[in-house]
Amino acid sequence: MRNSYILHIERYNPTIDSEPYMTTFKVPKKESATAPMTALMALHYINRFLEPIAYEYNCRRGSCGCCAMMIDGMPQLACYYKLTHEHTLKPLTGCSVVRDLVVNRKPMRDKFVLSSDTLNPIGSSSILKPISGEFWRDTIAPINACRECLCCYATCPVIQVHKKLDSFIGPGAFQQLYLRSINGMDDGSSVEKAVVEGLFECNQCGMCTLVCPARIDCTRHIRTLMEMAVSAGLKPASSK
Amino acid sequence: MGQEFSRRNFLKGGFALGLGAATAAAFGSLSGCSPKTEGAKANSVALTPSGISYSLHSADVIVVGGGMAGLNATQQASDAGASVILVDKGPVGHSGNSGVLWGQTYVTAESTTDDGVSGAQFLAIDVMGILDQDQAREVSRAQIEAQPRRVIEGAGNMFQRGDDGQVLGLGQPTVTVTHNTLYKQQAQLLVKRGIPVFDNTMMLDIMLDDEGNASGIIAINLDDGSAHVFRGKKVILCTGGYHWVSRSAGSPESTGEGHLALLKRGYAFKDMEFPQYDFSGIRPFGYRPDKEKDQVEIGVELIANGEIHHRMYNKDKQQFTKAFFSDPNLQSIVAFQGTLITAAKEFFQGNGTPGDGSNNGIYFNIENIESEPNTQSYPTYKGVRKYVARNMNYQWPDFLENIPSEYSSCGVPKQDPKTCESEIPGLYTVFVALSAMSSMWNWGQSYLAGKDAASKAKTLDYLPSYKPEEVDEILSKAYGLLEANPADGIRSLEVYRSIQRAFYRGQDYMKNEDAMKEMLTELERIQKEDLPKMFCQDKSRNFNRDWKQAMEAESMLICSLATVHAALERKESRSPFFRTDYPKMDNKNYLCYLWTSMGKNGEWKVEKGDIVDSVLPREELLKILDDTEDKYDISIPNEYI
Ligand SMILES: Cc1cc2nc3c(=O)[nH]c(=O)nc-3n(C[C@H](O)[C@H](O)[C@H](O)COP(=O)(O)OP(=O)(O)OC[C@H]3O[C@@H](n4cnc5c(N)ncnc54)[C@H](O)[C@@H]3O)c2cc1C
Repeated sequence: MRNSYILHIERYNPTIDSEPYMTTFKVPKKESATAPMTALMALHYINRFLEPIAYEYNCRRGSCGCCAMMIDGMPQLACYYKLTHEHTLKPLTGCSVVRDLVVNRKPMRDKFVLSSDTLNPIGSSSILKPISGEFWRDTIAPINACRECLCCYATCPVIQVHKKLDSFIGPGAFQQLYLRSINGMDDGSSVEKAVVEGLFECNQCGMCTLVCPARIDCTRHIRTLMEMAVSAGLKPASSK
Repeated sequence: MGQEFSRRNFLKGGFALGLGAATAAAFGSLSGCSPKTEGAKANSVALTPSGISYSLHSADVIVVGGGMAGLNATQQASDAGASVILVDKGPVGHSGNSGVLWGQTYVTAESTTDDGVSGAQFLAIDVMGILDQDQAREVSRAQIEAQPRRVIEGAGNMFQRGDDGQVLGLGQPTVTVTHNTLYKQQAQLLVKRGIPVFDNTMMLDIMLDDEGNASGIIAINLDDGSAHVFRGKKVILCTGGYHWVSRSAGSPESTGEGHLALLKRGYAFKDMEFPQYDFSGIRPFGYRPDKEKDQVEIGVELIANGEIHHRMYNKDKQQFTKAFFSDPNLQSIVAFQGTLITAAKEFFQGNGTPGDGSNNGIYFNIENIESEPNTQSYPTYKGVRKYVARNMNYQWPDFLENIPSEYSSCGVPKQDPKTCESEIPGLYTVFVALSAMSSMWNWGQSYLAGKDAASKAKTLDYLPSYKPEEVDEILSKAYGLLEANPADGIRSLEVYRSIQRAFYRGQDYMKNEDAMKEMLTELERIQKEDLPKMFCQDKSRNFNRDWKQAMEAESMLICSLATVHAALERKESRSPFFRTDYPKMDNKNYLCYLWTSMGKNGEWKVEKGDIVDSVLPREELLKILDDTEDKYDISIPNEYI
C-alpha cells in the first residue's frame, strides 16, 4: 500500500502569470474506518503544509456546490471525491479562472436566474395538489437538492463543444423548468420557456445525469420536457 | 473626487443628497448585470486621507450577508420600495450556513391564528426557557403575515409529500417542512430584479455618522483585493454566527465580523455562552468534523425528529435515547433538547465513543434505514448508504460514529423585538438566534428588519455622513495585514487554528471550569503575543485565503473571549450547555440571560438579566422545566429500556 497520494494541480494567477502551469504535490494518506480521504482534504493539506493554493469550499459534504472542479477530466465536487492514488485537478471547464481552482461561475449561474420565476405566494396552501410520496422522494427531492455546482454545464457538449451557451439555458436550469412544469400550478409557460431557451438543442447524450452529485436524472427530465413540448405542438420546425 | 470629501460635505443634506440621487440613477442602468462579472460597479472612486483608494457605492439600505436572513431582508426592503445593495463575503446563494443547509427543516407558525401566541410558546420551550418571548412572538406574527410557505411553493418549489401524497404537516399549528429551497429561489430572483449584489466582498466594519447613527460599511473584495465603502441610510447586518471557531457543521464564512462591530463598541450580547449542537451532518451525504477543522470526514446525519432518535447508541452499542422519548411529557416538550441531554448523560458516564479524541461521540445505527416510512421529515437519508456507495465507491457499515457539532453559534445584542433595530440607531441585527428553529427566526427577523429599514429610509432625505479617517484606519489595518513581515512571524492560518484549538479546549460538548480557564488563558496569550506577529504567506490580492483568515482572526478571538467569559458565569447545565462541574439545571439562579460586554480597555463584564416572559410566564415555564426532574440532571444515568 502506498502511503501518499500524488496530485497534479493546475495553477494560475491571472494578475501575475502569463499562462496556467501544473504543479505536483505529494499528500500523506489519512483515512479512517468510516471515512475515505477526499480531494478537498488533500487541498487543505497542501494549502496548510506545502504551499498556499486557491480553491473554494463551504459545506465540506456535497451540499453547497462551491468546490466543483475537474478531477481526472470529469467535473466533480472535491469534497465528495475519494482519492485513490494519482489525480489531476483543474478548474471547472468553461469558466474563466479567478485563481488556481477558483472560477467565475457567474455566467452559468445566471442561466438559473433566467429560468427562475417569481416570488408571488400561492393563494392558499390548500390548493397544493397531492403527489405520490415516492415520486416526491425519487424525483422532486433530488431536484430540490440541486446546488448549481455546474458540473452538468462543464460536461454538456452543447455548451462545451458546440459553444451554444448564448442560446441554450443548460441542463441545470432545465431542471428548474421541469420542476415548475409538473408542480400542478403551471399554465404551460415553463415548457414554452424551455423551448425558447434551446430545449431541442439537447441531444440526450446523458452526461449531465452521469455527473450530477445530487443524483438528478437530468437527461430524462429534459426528455420529458421535450415530450410535453411536442404534444403541445411547440417543437420548432427547424429541430430534428 | 475623494479628497475633496471634507467632513462638511458629508453633513446632512448638501452634497450627500446629490450623491444619493446620482446613485439611484446609476442603479437603474445596473439592472440585469452583475457586479461580479463586470467588476464591482463603483459610483465613484475616492481616496482616504493617507491615499488608499476605494470605490464608493450607496443605496437606501445596505444588507450585509447573503444567507437566508440577508436575502430575505433584501427582498423585503426592495419590495417596500427601497434601493438596496447586498454585500456578501461568499458567493451569494451558496455562502454561509444557508449555503451548507440548502433545504432542511423549515418550521413555520404561519397557519396559527392566535396572533403569534402559540408560535411563541412553541419557541419559548425550545431552548429551556431562555428565549426572548417578545421576539418569538414577533417572529411568529411575521410568519403569519408573510406566509413564507406559500411563497416557497409559489416560487416553484415543492414541499415534501408523505406516503399519502399530501403535504407533510399541512394544517398543523406549527409545521416542519423539509427542503426549504426558498434560499436558492430568492438568490436568483434578487439578481433577476437587478439588485446590486457584491459577492466575495467582506465587511471589515460598520460606519457611524457624527451622531452615532449607522451610515454604511467598509469592505474588501476578496477576488481582487479592492476596497469598497457602501453608504446607506440604514444598515442590516445578517452575518450569521461566529461558529467557525468551534467544531462546527456550519460555514467557514461564519467568523463573527457582525458581532465584532458591536462588541468592540461596548454593546452587550446575550446567549454568547450557548452553543447550538446537533449530531449532524447533512443530507444527502453527511459528514463529521475533525479536530483539525478543515479535515472533514464523512459521516451521516442524525435526525432530530421522533423515531429516528432511537438510532443513537453508545460506545457499547446500547441504544440510549429510547428512555427519554418513551416519556410522553418530555417528548412533546423538548424533543430536540432531549436528544442532547441523553447524549450528555452518556458522555458524563464515560459511554461516549472516542470521537476525535474528546470521547464525546456516539454511534448512529443505520441498520434497515432504507425501509423507513416516508412520513419522516427527512426522506432522503434513506438513500444515504446508496449515495455514499455511488459517489465515493464506499460501503458504509451499520454503525457509524457521529460527533456532536455546532450548526451555529448564537449571541444577539439588545434589539427592538418589533424591528430588530439594535442600540445603534439605523443598524439592524439579524444574527442567528438561540433556537433549534433557527430558520424560523432568521426568516421572521429579516422580514421585520427589511421592512422597517426600508420605511425609515424613506423618511430620511439625506445619506448620513461617514468619516474618511476611519475608513483610512480600517483599510490601512487590512492592507497592513497583507503586507506585514514581522520577525518570528506566525502564519495567519496557524493563528486561526490556535484560536480554534483554544475554543475546542474550553467549549467542548461537556465543559468544566478548568478547561474554560485554560481556554481563556490561551486566548489572552494569542491576543497579546500571536496576533501582532501574524503574517500572510501568500501576498497576492487575488483570492488569498491567508489574507482573509488574517482579517477574520480578530473577530473570532473577540467572540471566543465573549463566549468563555459568559460560559464561566453560567454555573449550571441547561441544554444545549453542559458542565460536568455543574450537572444540574438551576432555574432559581440561572433562568436568566447573561449580558456580556467588552469595555474600552478590553475588560469583560457579564451581567444577569431577567428573561422576557410575556407569552409563557416564568411560573408556567418553571412547571414545565422542573429542574428537580432527574431527566435534566446529566449526572444521573440514562435508563436503558
Ligand atoms: C448542518 C446544518 C443543519 C441545519 N439544519 C437546520 C434545520 O434543519 N432547520 C433550521 O431551521 N436551521 C438549520 N440550520 C441552521 C440554519 O442553517 C441557519 O440558522 C441559517 O442558515 C442562518 O442563516 P443566516 O442568513 O442568519 O446566516 P448564514 O446563512 O450563515 O449567512 C451569513 C452570511 O453572511 C455572510 N458574511 C459573514 N461575514 C461577513 C462579512 N464580514 N462580510 C460580508 N458578509 C459576511 C456570509 O457569507 C453568509 O452569506 C442548520 C445549519 C447547519 C450548518
